[in-house]
Amino acid sequence: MTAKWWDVDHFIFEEYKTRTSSLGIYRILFAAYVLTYLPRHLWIPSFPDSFFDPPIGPTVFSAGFPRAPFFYTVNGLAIVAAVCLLFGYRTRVASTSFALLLLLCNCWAYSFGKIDHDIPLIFIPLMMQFAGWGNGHSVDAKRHAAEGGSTRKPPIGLCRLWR
Amino acid sequence: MWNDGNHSQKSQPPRIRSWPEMLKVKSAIRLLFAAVILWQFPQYMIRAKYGEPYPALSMPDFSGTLADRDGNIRFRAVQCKVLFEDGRLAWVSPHCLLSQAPDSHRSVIMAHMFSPPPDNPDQVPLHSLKARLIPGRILGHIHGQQKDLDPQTRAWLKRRLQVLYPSEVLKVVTFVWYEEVFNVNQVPPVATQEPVGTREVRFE
Repeated sequence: MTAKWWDVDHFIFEEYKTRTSSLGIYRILFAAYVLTYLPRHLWIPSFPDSFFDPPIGPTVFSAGFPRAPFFYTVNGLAIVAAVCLLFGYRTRVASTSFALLLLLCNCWAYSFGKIDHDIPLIFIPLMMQFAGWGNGHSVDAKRHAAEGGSTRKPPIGLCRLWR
Repeated sequence: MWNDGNHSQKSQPPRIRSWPEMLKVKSAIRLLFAAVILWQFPQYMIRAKYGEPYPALSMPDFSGTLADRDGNIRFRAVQCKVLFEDGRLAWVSPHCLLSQAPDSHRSVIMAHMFSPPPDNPDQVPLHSLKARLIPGRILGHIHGQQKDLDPQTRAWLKRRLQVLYPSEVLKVVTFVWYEEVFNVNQVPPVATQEPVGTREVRFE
């Protein structure tokens, strides 16, 4: 029993040893990809509210879609957050903001009855900010002189649980 | 040992956690992992009763297409037949009609909005407490069950077809639903089409 617990602890705390610089490169690649992906939800207002068919989630409390300025604003902010991620500027705030803004728009996009398989795009920045992906190759690292420091393994392990 | 990664190695010495503090942090992390695993069960129950939730910890299923006992694989498909005032006829694919929406959404939107009308639609009280609490869910259900298209959808359909055929006057739009059936037991595989039903929308 003890050995099994040790295995679980090993998976959580030791399995995913990663260098700060590697996570930094991953952050840059992630941000570069999402910048090709955005803006994403500007098509939603071209459909009337009668097309509204939300899944179980926050949009069930609404009776229709927000208007176009909402999606332009949220996408604009998400692009700003992704640029901050690219350069590693205020990485924690940028990661959380990007994840929440994308989630907000996706909730409406999936209120047509179809849910896509892109939830990792939200989950990854939320977890990786705790793993320290802003500590390498970033403005933050230069500001705090933290480059070369260690990373946190548990959030990377948590990403591994995602399916 | 798990190490905090934010400490500056040049400007200040790393903060060393006490054992009780480290155990507390480790326990919290273990609990977080356990919560992610345990949350899968209620999520599967929600999915079974109400359909896919969003956001969710696990991604939606790929439903796939199984072959029946006779080796038939069935795909539901639709074409949109448009009749104009001058008697001319045009066929519009769902991809053309819903080109504003992403490719992955089109068949779901078509099925929800333009399926053949049900024989016995569910009666959903619009002024019930449930309808007031979760209007989106109820309206979505009503729109999927309607015998005649609601005015908003009709207006959208008219606008959309006027964009596609700007010089024509619209008369009738018929959504023709059918099943593409592929029999994989025969060599070479045989493909046939079986009608499922239609929905007609008149603009006269």
